[in-house]
Amino acid sequence: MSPPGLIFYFKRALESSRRIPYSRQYDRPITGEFMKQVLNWPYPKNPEQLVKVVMIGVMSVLIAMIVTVIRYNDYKEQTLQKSQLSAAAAALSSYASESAMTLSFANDHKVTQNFRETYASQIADQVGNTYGYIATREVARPYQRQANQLVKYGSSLEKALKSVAQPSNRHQIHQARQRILHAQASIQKAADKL
Amino acid sequence: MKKLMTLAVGIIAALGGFVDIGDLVFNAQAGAKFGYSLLWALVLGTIGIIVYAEMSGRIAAVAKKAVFDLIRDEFPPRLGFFTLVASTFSNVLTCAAEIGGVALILILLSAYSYYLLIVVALLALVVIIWFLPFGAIEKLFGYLGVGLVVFVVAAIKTWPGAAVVHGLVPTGLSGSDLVTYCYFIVGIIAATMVPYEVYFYSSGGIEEGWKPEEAKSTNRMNSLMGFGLGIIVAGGIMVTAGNVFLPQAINPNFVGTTAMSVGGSLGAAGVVIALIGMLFAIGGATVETAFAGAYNLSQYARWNWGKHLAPLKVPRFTVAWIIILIIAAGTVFIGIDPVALTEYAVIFSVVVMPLTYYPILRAARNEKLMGKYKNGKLADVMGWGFMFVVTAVALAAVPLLFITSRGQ
Repeated sequence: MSPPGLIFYFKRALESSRRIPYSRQYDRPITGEFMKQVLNWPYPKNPEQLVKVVMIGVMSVLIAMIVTVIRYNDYKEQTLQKSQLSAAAAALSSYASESAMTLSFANDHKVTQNFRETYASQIADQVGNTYGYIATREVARPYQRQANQLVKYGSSLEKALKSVAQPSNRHQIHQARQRILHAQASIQKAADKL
Repeated sequence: MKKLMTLAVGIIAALGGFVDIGDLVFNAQAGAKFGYSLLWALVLGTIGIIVYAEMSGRIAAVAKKAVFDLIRDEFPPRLGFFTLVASTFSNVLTCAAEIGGVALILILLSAYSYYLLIVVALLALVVIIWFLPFGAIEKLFGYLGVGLVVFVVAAIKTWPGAAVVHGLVPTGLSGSDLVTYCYFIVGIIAATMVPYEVYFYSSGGIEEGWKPEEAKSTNRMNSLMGFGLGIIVAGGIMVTAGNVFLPQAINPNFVGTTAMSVGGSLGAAGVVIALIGMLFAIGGATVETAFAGAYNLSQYARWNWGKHLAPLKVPRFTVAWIIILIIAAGTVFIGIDPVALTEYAVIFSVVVMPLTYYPILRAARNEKLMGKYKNGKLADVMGWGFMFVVTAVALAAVPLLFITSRGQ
């Protein structure tokens, strides 16, 4: 159908849509009255009040923006304490369990090659984000050593996952799984010392 | 024989058509964290959605009013408008999580780029909705979503015995575990009682032209079967996650993790069937959320609507569902994680749920509107009981989301 033909068809469809008998039991017709009721706020009543409303609105947005910036800076510059490091270690350990299980399934042909590659790549990205969160922040002095361990073994976990996020043979998958299990044990050790 | 066939086909569609990304995420995470001990919340949520849907379907059959027809007629204009805005926001958020879920599963099946697959999913859904009739869409997603039954098979193969039965009774927990446990109670009830299913269900009743006498036959059968049978799949997901993930302290952070839970007992074929089932179940939910949003807008604004009419005969309804799908796809296209988005979408939907549940309950009890089809004693007790549950869950949802950092 040519474009003008299409426009004609569309117009005709629009017109016919208006002719559809409305069978639903509506007791209020479509009028501007109802929208007026919705939009007819009792305040502001005059331009002065409108200015006040706009100012309050702008101030609220400004305050929200300032709070967001402060919170973001706090987040970026926070000094990591035991609770944050424990949460990161638990996440890394869970990723390691998840990937070790996937590779075990891959070696037993319980998941497809495509599943293993894509999934390993997704977990590797999350592992990178998690240890990157520790690596880019200050850590409270008593936990410095454990934090370094988490970054080191998180990075080793990520490397092992990336190695199987591409075509790999059975032996390579087995080796990667061993490295993952080793990294997980070390992460657990660091977490226990926190 | 024909009746038996119809029943069997209905059961298949119900099994495949109930679960969405919210059920997959919350049930798998709850199973991984607390084993079977939250099965009772799943049962409670399922009874809740049956009560909610049954009332809305009865009103659709008798009074010919869908949810947002009622809201426009019953609520003061500003409250009605606020409910429309909040529900539309919730629908778009849920639709975005669903479409992101579809793309994440397509990656695991095809290995193409995530962003390309979002576009492919969007186009495929628009074409399917545009060209297929209502019944065919339901059948396509319902039948192919039945692959999710592999979770039930996996749960049976690794059946843990009486421990599952104990999960049907709330257990006592303490300390920080209790707060996380409460978050998952809220999450499971919210994911099971998502309001878009009721918007879709009541509008579907009007589309299919239910008559008043069908309020008790077709409507009751549909709400009981459609929502009641879904619990089998949702329960299977929770039990399998409890069997596989809990002993290894795995927190399912990816959509693929849920599929992998069947790998141990059913092998690669099981995982692929699970992924295909999830793909169509989530795809069906994407259609439902987009339609639910378009239904709500059309009913509130008094536009002509209906999937039974050709798309160009109801242009504003058509434009509404297309725009909802585009905004949803755009939301995940900018890089927002669909799994995190799912949790926010489910929690936000339960926050606004009392606003759409209450007018349904009120109308279902109204003798003037419903005549002899008004709520009986049992329906009244259940209706008010779940009004209390829905309000409590809505009040607790946001504080628990932040206190537990999304159940971590």
